[in-house]
Amino acid sequence: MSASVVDSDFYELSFHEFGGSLDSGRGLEMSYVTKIAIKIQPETLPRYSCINQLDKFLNLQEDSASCYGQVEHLRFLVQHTHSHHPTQIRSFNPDLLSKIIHWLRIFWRLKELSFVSIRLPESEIFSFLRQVAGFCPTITTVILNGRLFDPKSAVDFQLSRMPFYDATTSHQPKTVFMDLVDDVLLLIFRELPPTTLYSLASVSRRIQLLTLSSYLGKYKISTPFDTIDLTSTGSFSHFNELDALSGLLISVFIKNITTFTCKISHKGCTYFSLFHVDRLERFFSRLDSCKKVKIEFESSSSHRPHDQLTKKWEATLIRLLDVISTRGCEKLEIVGGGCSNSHQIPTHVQITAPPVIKLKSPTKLKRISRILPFLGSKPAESSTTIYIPPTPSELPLFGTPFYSLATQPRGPTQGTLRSLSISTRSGAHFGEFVPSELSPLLARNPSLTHLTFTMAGRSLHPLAGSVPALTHLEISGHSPTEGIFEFLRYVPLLRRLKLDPSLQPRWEDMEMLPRFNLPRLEVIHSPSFYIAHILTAGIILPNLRSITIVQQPFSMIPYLPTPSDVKAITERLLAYRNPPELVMEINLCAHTIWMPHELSVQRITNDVWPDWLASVSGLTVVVLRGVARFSPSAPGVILLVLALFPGLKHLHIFTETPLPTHLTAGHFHHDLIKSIHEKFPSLETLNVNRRPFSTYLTSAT
Amino acid sequence: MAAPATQQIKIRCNDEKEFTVDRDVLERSVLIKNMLEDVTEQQDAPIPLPNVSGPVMAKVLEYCTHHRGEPLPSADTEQSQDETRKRTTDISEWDQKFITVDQEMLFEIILAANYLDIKSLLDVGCKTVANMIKGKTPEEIRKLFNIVNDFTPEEEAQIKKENEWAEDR
Repeated sequence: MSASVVDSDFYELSFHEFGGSLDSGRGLEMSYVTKIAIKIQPETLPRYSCINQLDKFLNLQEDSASCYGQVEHLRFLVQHTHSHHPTQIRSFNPDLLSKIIHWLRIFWRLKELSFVSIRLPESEIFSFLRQVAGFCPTITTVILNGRLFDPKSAVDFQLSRMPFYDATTSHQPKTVFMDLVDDVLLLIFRELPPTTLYSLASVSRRIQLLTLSSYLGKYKISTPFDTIDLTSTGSFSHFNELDALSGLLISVFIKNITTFTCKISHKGCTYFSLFHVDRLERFFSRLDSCKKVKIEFESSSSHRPHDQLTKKWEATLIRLLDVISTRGCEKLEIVGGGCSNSHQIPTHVQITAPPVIKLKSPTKLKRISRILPFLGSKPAESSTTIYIPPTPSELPLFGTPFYSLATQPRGPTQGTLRSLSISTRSGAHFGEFVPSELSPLLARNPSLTHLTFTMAGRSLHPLAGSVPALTHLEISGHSPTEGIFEFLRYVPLLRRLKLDPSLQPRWEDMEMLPRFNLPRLEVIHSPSFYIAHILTAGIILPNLRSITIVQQPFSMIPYLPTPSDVKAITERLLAYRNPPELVMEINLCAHTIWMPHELSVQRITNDVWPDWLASVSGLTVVVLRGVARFSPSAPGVILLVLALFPGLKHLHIFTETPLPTHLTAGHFHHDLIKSIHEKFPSLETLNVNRRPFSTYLTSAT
Repeated sequence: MAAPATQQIKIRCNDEKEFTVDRDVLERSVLIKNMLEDVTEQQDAPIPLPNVSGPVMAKVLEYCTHHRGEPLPSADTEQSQDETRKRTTDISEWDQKFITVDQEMLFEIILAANYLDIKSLLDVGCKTVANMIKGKTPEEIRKLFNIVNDFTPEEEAQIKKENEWAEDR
């Protein structure tokens, strides 16, 4: 016999292995118990033996100091398994009932008696109730789904799990749906679409648990819930395809998850996406912890949602993020969906005013150093703190920014986010944020160090000062540049900055940058004039060690600086005390000739190029199909690039079409390639498709 | 040991009803097939099937006779069967006619198929029940199968709340 506390506070007695080996100590234990659930599996013992043993046990306990005196709630659970034939079950139950009537006198304080999974014809129930509670059915007595009438007794009878049959039909089936064993029910559920599974989940408890098992099988949910990946069977796109989310929502077991991934798409109706987000929020709010979350939105709608809906969307999404961030989440990634028809991003109220946060007085300024210890995962305070940036006039232009902690009157507990990524594909409606709405979330997560953001036409201004611990920042999409530079002013710990070329900051904007320790700067697909500005940034960023210029993949026009650009750049570089390493990522695209004719190797050697080109130490070249004339393309490109950049230390080449495993003498400039390292001694790394180039040669005969 | 196809086997159901059936028909049931393989010598005593009643066994035998000679699903095909199961809830015309019985008989057949380990019959039964359930509301499902709503009023309210979004549509 085993006992354990099940469900709520019921003391569970399992009599399936019941056989007289009762410990008398149980009596003492029982004397504190007010709620008992007695679990009987009649098939494990001959039926009379089981009932008799139970009878003995209860009476034995009665002898030991009125140990059932406290019991107010008594629940009988009869568990039948398939091996037990329905005929036997039917004969077992009346026997049990007659005994229960006898046992009830032991529980003299009983207020509630309930039966689970005991099936009886109505007539027997009435007879039972008459004996136990003097109950007399009247013409107004209603039996509906087992919910009971009002017995004239102090005991509140709950025959809740006792199936009652429709009184209007005389036929009472002997074998019913609920007789099917779990394995069979699961087989049936496997045939059902998610919507029906969802309906089933609210039919009864047993079915609810079983449907959950169905979800577990259907989606990638590992137990004990390390990883929940709901993307495997496609995304939840429509009401009809609900939904593993519902299954999760009703699940009572899941408390801790390491990784959660899901994809939500909306086809035509925004409400469905809102619905899913709302569900996700409820799911997460029941969790104790979840370390990593990735939610992807997919949009195939050809209609732009109206602004009101979009606003509702953002508020809903922010609520979700808020909940996630307070569940111990460290990495949160939101990917907005692409849209087949390109539409304008919905316009929002542009926030041009500075953040509506005011310093109380300059004397309350506290240095950043005093904030830093706080940035760890300290338990949440009763009130949340936010960082208030000083106004520009209070800030020395090139000095360390000051921050102040001020108490925010309301708001949930402190979040634990360290990494937040919110990105959208072009034309997407969703997964975007108005920065002002994101601001409270960021403020509640002061330990945030990594932020990736798609701007979509809004100013970053409102976020200025809300992420003081930021070390990595990546911004893509259009945004008013002044907002970005205002924002940069308050991220003194920034180590890595990646900017979208479309931002096109002006020189004056660059001057706004405070003098801080930015060692790495990455720029995607820079127009040439921008390079000059970036290099200028190097002047006010004296610790800059690396500038990466990434050409946007699949752009039809590969960017290479023109000689005049180079001249400007060289001049700028002269201002560096320690020129930073320049890393370029060039994508050679189809339909374009990689090298403009005026930039032939010949001209390079005696023009303004060498100074600058020699300073490039790292280069990544992506060779796309169009450059097939360098056949095989990689060796040709290598030669050309090495001729252009004599000071190169690291060269990474990626080809769209795979290279032959072995390069033979028949290939382009084979001999020359073989002696590359002799001719270019400074070259330390030469990889083609992540494989050292030398391995292509050594294996050749 | 391969037995001649014409061998007759006797079975006895839990209501003492006995059937004498061709061995190959009976071997649709993996349970009985294994039993017969374990018994090397021919026995006259009927095989007892304590979990199946006579009328249900008659139905099951009707199915087995109709499908005799068809290849039994092996362990290899189980995987692919699993996949095809998802794609189709189609039931062949004969099976559909065969399985058109009242609920009680349907569930008894499913339980018997599960007990006797007749995969194809179990599949037909499960698909039939699934088709009955498909697209129904919780209340309709309860009514259909006489299932008792055993959620507490609070839990029910909670479930209803979760449903709000769906009901709004």
